[in-house]
Amino acid sequence: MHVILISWEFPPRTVGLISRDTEKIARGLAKSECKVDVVTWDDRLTRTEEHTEGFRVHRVANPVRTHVNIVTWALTLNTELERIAADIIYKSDDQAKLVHASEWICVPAAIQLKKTLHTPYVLSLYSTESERSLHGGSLSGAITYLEKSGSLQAAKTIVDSMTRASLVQKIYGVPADRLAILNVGTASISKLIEQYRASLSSQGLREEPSDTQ
Amino acid sequence: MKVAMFTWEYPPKIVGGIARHVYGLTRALSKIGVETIVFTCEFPGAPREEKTDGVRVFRVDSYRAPTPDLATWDLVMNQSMEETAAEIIDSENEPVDLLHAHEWLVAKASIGLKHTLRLPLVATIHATEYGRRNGLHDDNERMIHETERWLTFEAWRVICCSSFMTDHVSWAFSLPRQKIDSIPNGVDVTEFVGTFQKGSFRSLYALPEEKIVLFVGRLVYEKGASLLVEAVPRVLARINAKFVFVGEGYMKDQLIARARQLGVAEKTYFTGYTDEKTLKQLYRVADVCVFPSLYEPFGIVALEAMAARAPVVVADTGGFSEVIEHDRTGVKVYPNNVESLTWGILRVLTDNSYAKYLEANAARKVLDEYSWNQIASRTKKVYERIVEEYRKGAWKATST
Repeated sequence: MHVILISWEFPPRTVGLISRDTEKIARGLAKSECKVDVVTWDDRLTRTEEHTEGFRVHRVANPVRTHVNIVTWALTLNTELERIAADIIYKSDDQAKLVHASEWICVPAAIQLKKTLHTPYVLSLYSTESERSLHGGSLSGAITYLEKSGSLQAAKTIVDSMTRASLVQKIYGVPADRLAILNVGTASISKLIEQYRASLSSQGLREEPSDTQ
Repeated sequence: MKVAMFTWEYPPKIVGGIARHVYGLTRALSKIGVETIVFTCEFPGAPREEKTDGVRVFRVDSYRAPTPDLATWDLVMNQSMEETAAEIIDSENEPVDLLHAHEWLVAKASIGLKHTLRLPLVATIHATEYGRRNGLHDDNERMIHETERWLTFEAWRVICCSSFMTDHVSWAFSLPRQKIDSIPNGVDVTEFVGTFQKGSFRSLYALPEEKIVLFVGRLVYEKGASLLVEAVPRVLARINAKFVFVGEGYMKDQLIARARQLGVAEKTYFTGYTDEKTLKQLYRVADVCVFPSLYEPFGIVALEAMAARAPVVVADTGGFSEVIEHDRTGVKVYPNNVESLTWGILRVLTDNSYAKYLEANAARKVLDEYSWNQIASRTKKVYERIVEEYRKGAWKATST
């Protein structure tokens, strides 16, 4: 299995939990003989690529430097995340490929990779916009739209609690069989791989034996 | 050859010149064997999907989420456009050969598809934020400028509508000139023929003894309508005329107030937006069309006036400088100069045979150089060049 992790933060950039969790997942998958690429943001002017602990990290800059809010920033960054992920998919061998995107910030790239290259994705939601922004507002509306669109089109939406699963089911209409309750930061990697396998088979894809890197 | 074309406006949604440009171009391309699929924004009453004159159009849902400003709306709309286009292109029996984006407003969708589908992208830059605003003054303008730069960077080749714009785009985005093709806008002369009750139509705008001086454009600083208002009393000192301003813009109230202050309010008529039919008839009853722009990437209005056989007076700036030949197809005046503008208007209005001479030359020039068939043929050559280069390269939608 070839997993492409898309996250807006990755060590050394650590803003919240996503950074640490994505690194833990990348390490765990690499040890489980999965091929792993991490595509993340870095505020530099040029792309960098590192090969470490059995996986590769691709750091990309936002092609548009000046922004008026976080939504415009996220949407243009996603085109670059999409570009690098597409390159990885084109260069990948025949084994089953899967994208794991974290949070609404990486939803646009995941959706496009699914629509154009037929690569299914799972989406981790650490929280929902309705929980983060109680008073709403038009920017919040745009984030909610991306969150909803992303969870509805994901092969699996992963949340960390029963409460959040009910919330995602209720407000976004995601069917129960496409929701998984798993704390990606603390759960064993085998449980996550189980979800990946279920996601691939739900899309009619089968995991082939992978090559070690 | 099959081309997927991206534009935020397409008839019946007409905001600026891009809608009419893409409309004319796609129809003419279809006649010379280039199949086009247009992806654009929805519009009330317009079908989500249609095929007319060989052109397929898909209108995407562009209001899926509330957004606080144009830039945010545009990028969310691009997400929607990119998703729809991906589905349509994926379902085509015959593959798409090329993507063609018009303006920064569709940059994200077209660049994203370029990389995921690995198809060459061509971009037409109709105007720049730097030119529109006469510089970059805030983050919103800087963001649009950087998005324009991103699009020109990602495009295989860039099309500009004039040599003026080619120079400007090359300078503004540090883009090699060799990457830019200059292809003018086109106009469909057949839209300016046909009979109508000229006398009764004319009487809606002016008295029989008044000449009609027509301005068409957005009532914003760069279009120079304020210069024409200043010229009104000077022209009226020599000749009886009515000054008709077609268009809307943030300067409208200011222009009306200034006309009142100058004591010429009853000699001016601010119509606001008009429908296409009315506009074309207005061109045909005008005694002179005046375009005193300070910034003009191309100036499609001059071509429309020429096609309607109305003599034109333009500021010698930007695209106008290239379209108009002074004393042959129109009159050029100094930009931002009321004296010169007054002189140009009077030069046409006081010499009927000179006006007829300009009209005839202009109409011939439009047919010879600015018909959509000519423009489509030149655009097709750009497509063929790109597709040929793409075929020879290694960057393709196959595993490497």
